[in-house]
Amino acid sequence: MLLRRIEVDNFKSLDGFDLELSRFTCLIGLNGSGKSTVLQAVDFLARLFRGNISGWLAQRQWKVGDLGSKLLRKSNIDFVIVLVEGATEIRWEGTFNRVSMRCTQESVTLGGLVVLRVDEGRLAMGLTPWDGAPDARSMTGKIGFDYQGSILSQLKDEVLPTIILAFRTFMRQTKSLDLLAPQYLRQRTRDSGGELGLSGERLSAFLHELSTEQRQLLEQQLRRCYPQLTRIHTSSLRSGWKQLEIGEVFGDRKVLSEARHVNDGMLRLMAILSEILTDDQFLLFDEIENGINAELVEFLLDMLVKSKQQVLVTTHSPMILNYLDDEVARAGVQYLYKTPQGFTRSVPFFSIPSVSEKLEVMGPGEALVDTNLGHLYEEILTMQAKTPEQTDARPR
Amino acid sequence: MLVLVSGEGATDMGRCVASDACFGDGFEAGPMACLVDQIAECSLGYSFLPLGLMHFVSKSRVSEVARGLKPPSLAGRKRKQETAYFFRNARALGRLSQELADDSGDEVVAVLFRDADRTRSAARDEWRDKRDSMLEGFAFEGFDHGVPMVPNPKSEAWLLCALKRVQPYRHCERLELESGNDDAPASLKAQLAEALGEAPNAEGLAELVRSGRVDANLIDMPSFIAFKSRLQACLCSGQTGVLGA
Repeated sequence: MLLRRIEVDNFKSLDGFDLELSRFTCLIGLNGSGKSTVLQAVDFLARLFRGNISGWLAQRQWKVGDLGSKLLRKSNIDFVIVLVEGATEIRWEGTFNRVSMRCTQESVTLGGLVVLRVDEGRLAMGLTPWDGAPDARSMTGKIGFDYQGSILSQLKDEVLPTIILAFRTFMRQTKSLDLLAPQYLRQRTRDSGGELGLSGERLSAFLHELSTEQRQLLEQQLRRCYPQLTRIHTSSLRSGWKQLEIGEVFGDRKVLSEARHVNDGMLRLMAILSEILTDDQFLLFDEIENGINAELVEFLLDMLVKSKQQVLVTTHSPMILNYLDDEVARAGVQYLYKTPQGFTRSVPFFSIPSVSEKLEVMGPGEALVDTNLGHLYEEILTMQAKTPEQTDARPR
Repeated sequence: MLVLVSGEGATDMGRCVASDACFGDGFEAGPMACLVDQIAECSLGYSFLPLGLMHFVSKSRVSEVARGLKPPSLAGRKRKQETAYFFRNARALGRLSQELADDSGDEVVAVLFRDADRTRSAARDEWRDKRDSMLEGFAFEGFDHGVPMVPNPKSEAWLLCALKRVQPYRHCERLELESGNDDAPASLKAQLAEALGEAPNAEGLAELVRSGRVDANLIDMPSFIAFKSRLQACLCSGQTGVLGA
């Protein structure tokens, strides 16, 4: 399953915003253009399908009022998600009410047919039987319980048609590490709850819970970057704290270092690589280049581009882009910018004519660093005026 | 002496009938190639085109060579933004020119045409940075006879200077302040079409240069003068072996 497109209205600087996604998508743009906000929006969308929005806000230390745009008076936040599974398009639309913390209106459309709808406190499902979904359940009635997020966060697996279940699983297995920070990666933790935190917290417990096979694979991958590494050692201390240590060999001397003495880059790489080993289906990383020295960039990019997951990263680094193949760059590098009104917009970077031409004679990263991003807005407007059907054509 | 030219398309430097590199009958010279020839004839007393001494290499071939060039050239204190495209293309044409010189055993003068800006009007210092980066690109490859042909903002401005109905060849400097965007109101392309009474085409424009209706001696625009002076210096040094100013 692939998340193909998102549309967002009234989430921080995202209003009238849409973004096309590829298997590997890389967001670039000036500081403040909205790159991190896009990652937060996708993470928020994913959370809608798990419920407990209050918990999500607490984790980020946000209030519900922080979700909406400061430039608008709208209260509700509207989203559209388009995914594809083979030839089938799954479209979810939802309106998140910031007071009730749930999607007061939502619908799922399969191949153009509405198969689930929530409106005015009522749920209708299986409204229309559709081809290829013999397991559709029919259900309609008033929703007699409180919940947060999407109604899909609450429904049992057995009442959901297979493809909607797969869609929900995809959204639940969307994992954002957009606040990855060394001080959290170094912390001792008791248990991971099966996942890393937004900032990489719980790494020691997360690694402790990996299977032997996963651990060996991770060691193997890390050894390609750090040949002196012999093993990743985790141990359970008294009272359940998990400690992470790195074994290295220098000449004939073996050294075991606790996580708090391990370099930032290795810890970040360890978190990213271990995330790739999970069953998560969509991974989000902010400023992927942080702490990673130039010699490791190619390895990291190869791991991400070839991973089984869909990946969305942000970067300021031309080096990251220079290690992308041209086709990956053309399809996946999205330039984010702000309109004079302060709203974030996206455009495939290499669809901008002057930038596309540069890609004919130089690498994607060189093209980025050679481009005066402050001058692009005029050209983007001209381009959009020429091809309105391709850009920002969504009715408002 | 040979001249190797490369441009963006048929309406500027021209095109090969059937390949990536050509000369003689295989080369359909565009208006910019004809301007090069006109200046050469004035400077040296003979014309390159009819003698098959002007060689052409396509933009795609130059791009192919440029893509493979190492090391990458990153903008920074020593290199301004929006210049790498010009630098790399010049490096590539410098290499191809050196190859032609080695193969032919003759001196080669290379002329690389690129519009300064096709999206908007380029400020004077931006145009200069782009032109200078071409010179640096040729120099990086150790090629001394490279000529940047970089109209500001694009070739229509030079042609319009000669072909405009009101006061041709007068007050042309102001054309360099116009937008290079073909979709802009009263774009240079639209103005040229109006002056010609029809949409410009490669063959027609080339003929206007060949016939002398577009006279290189009379075009007084900073971007054109910079190109012409450098071409004349390279042509003379190609004959004497000494590159002047």
